[in-house]
Amino acid sequence: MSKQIKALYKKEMMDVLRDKKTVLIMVFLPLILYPVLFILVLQVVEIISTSRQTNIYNYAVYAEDKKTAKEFSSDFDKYIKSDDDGYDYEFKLLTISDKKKLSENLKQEKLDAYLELSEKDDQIFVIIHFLSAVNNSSNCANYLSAELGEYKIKVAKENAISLGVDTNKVIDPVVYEEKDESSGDSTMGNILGNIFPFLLIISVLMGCMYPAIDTTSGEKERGTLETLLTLPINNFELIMSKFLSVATIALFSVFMNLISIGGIALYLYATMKSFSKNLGSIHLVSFIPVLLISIVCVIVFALFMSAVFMCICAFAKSFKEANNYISPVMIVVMLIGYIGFIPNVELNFEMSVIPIVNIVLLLKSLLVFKYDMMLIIMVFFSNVLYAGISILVLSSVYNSESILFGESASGIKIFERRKNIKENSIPTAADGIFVYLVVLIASVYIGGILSTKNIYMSILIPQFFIMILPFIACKYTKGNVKEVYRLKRPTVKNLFAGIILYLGFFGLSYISGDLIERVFPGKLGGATQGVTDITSQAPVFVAFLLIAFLPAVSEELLFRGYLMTAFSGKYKMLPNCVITALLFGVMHLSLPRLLPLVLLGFCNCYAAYKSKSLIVSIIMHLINNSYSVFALYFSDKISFIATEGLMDLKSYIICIGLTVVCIPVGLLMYRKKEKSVLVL
Amino acid sequence: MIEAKGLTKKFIRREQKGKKEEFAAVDNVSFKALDGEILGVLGPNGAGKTTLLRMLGGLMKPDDGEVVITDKDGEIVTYKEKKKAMIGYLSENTKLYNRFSIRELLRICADIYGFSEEYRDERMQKIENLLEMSSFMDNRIEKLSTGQKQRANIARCLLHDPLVYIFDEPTLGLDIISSKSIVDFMKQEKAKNKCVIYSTHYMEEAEYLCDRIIMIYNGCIIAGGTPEELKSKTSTSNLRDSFFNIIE
Repeated sequence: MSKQIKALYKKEMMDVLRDKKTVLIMVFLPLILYPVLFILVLQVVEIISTSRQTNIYNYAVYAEDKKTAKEFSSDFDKYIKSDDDGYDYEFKLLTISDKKKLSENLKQEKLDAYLELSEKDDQIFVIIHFLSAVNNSSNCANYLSAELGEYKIKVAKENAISLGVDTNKVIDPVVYEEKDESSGDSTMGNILGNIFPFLLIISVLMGCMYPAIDTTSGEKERGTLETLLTLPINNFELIMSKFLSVATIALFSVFMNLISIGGIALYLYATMKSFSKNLGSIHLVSFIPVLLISIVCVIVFALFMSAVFMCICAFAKSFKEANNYISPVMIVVMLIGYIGFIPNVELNFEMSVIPIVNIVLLLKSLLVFKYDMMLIIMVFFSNVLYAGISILVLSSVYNSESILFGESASGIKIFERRKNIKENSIPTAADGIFVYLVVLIASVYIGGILSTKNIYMSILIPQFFIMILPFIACKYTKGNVKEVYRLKRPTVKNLFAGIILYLGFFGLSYISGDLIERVFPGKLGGATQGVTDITSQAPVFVAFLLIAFLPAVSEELLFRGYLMTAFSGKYKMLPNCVITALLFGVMHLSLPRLLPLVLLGFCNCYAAYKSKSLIVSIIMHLINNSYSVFALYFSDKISFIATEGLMDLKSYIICIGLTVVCIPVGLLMYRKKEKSVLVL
Repeated sequence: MIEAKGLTKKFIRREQKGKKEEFAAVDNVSFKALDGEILGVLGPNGAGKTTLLRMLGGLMKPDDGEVVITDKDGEIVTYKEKKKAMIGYLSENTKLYNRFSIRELLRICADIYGFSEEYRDERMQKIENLLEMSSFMDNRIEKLSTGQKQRANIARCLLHDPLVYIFDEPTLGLDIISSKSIVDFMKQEKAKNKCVIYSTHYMEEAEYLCDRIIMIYNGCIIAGGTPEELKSKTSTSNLRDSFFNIIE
C-alpha cells in the first residue's frame, strides 16, 4: 500500500469513526439493540404462550337421541378432564340441546365448538362444528379432534377387554416414540441457518451504508472533496482509501454482529436444552471451519456491497439525496436476503453465482455442516468477480468530473429532443447501456411471449429486436450509420488476421467450455432448445440462414457496431472490448456458457476495433455459427473436435494447438500496417 | 512559473424547456504567471474563473490545452501529482474537515506529501508560529471561528511550501479582518518570490494587490496587462470602469 493510500485511509477512518451515526450503527445496534430486541421477543412469546395455557374452551354435545348425547358427553367429558397428558387447555361442557341454539351460540362465539353425534351399527359418527375464521373455535376443534382420537382408543381398549381380546395385539400392535438423533451442533446450526444469513446481510448493509454516504456524498456536501483533490493524489489512491475504509467499517460491523448473534444463539441453545433432554451438547470447535469459510466469503461480499453503495452514493450531492438513492437498494437486497427463510431452497450451481442469494444460501448450508467445496469456490470467486466489477465501475464513476463537481455531463442522447442533437453525432456510453437493456428485455420477454407457438419466430423475433432497436436509436440521435456501425471495407490482411485470431479463440473457448463441463457435469449442455428444434425440422439451408447468418449479422451490428462505438467515447480499446464481450455473453442468458461466449465476443471486438471494420467480425461470427450448425447436421462427417459431451485427447491437442499458434499470429498481424485493400 | 497553453473546458448546460447546449466555460485561454508576482484573474460570476483555476490546480482535466509548471531549477514538471505538490490551492470551496483538529489535518496532509516525521513537526511548528495558531491548534475545526478557520486553510496551503499559489475568491463572504489575513499572506508570499494567481470579482482589491491582471469574460481573455496599462488603454480611472469599457 502506498504512503498516500495509508495516509488517506487513516484520514477516512478518523473522519468516519468520529461520525456518531456510524458508531451507533456499528456498536450500539449489534451489541445492545439485537439482544434487547431478542429478549423482548422472547418475553412477548412467553406472554402469548402463558395466555394460551389458561384458555378454556366451551363445547357442547348434540344428538337426535338425547340419551346418546347425555351418555357420550358425560363419559367423554369425564375422560378429557381426567386425562393428564400435558395439554395446556381446559374444556367446559355446556348443556344446550337445541341444534338451532347451538348454531347461534357458535356464531356468536359463546360456544367454541360442538359435537354432533349419530349412531349406526354400533358405531358413533361425530361431526365437529366450528368456525375456521375464529382462532379460539379453530383451536378448540383441533384439540377436540386430538382428544377424540385418544378417547376412541380408550373405548376400543375397554371393548376389547370386555370381549377378552389381548389389547396389545389388537389395539397397540406397534408402539413407537420419536428420538432426535441430530447432534447439538447441527440443531444449533439449523436454528441459526434460518436467521443468521439474513442478519449478516443486514449487518453488512448497515455497516456499509453510512460510511459509503459519508465518504462520498457527505464529503461533497461538506465541501471537503475539493480540498482533497488539491493534494498530490491520483484517482486510484483516492478511491482505494475510501473504499478500504468503507469495507473496514462494514467488516467491523459484521464482526460485532457475529459476537452479538453468537451470544444470542448460545442463550437460545441453553434455553432450548432446558426444555428438551434430547438436545445434544454443542462442540464450539466444530463451528470453526464454518466460521472461517463464512468470514472469508462475507469479507468478499462486504467488499462488493461497499463498492456498490459507493457507486450509488457518488451520484448524490448530499447526505439526504444519497439516503434516497440507497433506501430502495437496501430493500431489494434485503428481499433477496429473505430467500434464506424459504424452505427447500438450497445452494446449487445456478444459485452460487447469483449475488446476495449465493452468500445467504452458502451460510445456510455451512451452518448445517454441508460442505461442497466446488460451490464454496464458486460463491467466493463470483463475489470476487462482482467486487472487482463494482470497483471498476466505482473508479470510472469517481473519475468523472460531472460526478465530482456536478458540472459537465454527457447523459443519454436518446432522451434529448431530436432537433437539439447535432448531425453525425456519436452515441454516448449511457446510450449504449440503455439500448442494450431495452434490447435485452425486448428480446427476452416480448420475443419469448410471441415465439411460444412458432419455433422460427423464437429465433427471428429476438434477432429482429437486436437489429432494429439500435438502428432506430442511431437514426434518432442523427448518427452516421456508416461510422457508428463501422461499415467499411476491410483489408485482406485484416480479414485474414481476424479469421486466424478467431481460430485461436475458438480453441480457447472450447477448452474453457470443456473445463466447465468437467467441473459441473451436464451444466454446459449442447445446443439450445430453439436451435435443436429447428435443426430437427428444417432443411440445412434454412437452419443456416436462421441460426448462423442472421445472428452473425444482427449481433455484430449491435455489439461490435453500435455498442463498441458508444463505449469508445468513454473507454480505451481494452476495457471497451472486455465490457462489450461481457454484455455479449450475458445476452445469451446461459451462465455455464458465459466464459466461452465472452472469449469469442472479445476476439470479435478486438478484430472489429483493430480492423475498423464490422465485416471482419461478421465473417468471424458467421464461421463460428456455421460450424455449430453443420456440426449438428453432419456430426458423423465433421469429426474435427467433439461437439457434444467431453472432449477427447485429440480434440484437446487440436484446441491447444489452435490457441497457442493462432492467437499470437492474429495479434501480430494486427500490429503491423495494412497495405492491400479487399475489393468487395 | 505557471503557464496556461490554450486551455479549453466545455460543459453541457440545461436551458429553458430542458434544452441542452454545449458551451465552453473556458475557451482557448493562454497566459503566464511569473515568480514573484501576483496575477489577478478578474471577471464577473460565471465568467469561467473557477474552471480555469481548477484546471491550473490539477483538479480538472482540460478538454484541450495544457498547464506547464517550471520548478526552481527551471525544469518543466510533467507528472500530474508532482505538479499538484508544487501548488497551494485555496478557494471558497476548499472546506476543512470539521471533525479534525488543525494539528490532525496538517499531519494527514504532511503524510500525503510524504514528509519525514522530523520535517513535518518542524514545518508545522513554523506555520503555527507564523499564523499564530497555538491557542486553537488542537481544537476541532468545527468549533473555530471563521477567521481561525481561514488561517487553518492558509496553513494547509502553506504546509508543503509550494512554488505557486492559486487563490480562487478566497475573501468571498469574509469580514475585513479575515480578508486582510489572506491579503497579507499573498503579499508575504510574493515577497518570497512565489507566484500567486488570485481570482476575484472585487475590482478594487485586485487593483491594489495585483502586479498584472487578466480579464475574463464568457470563458475568453478579453484584456491583460498591469492595472495602470489597463486603465490607460481604456482611458478610465479604475479597473471597474476599464472592465465595462472593454466588454462594451
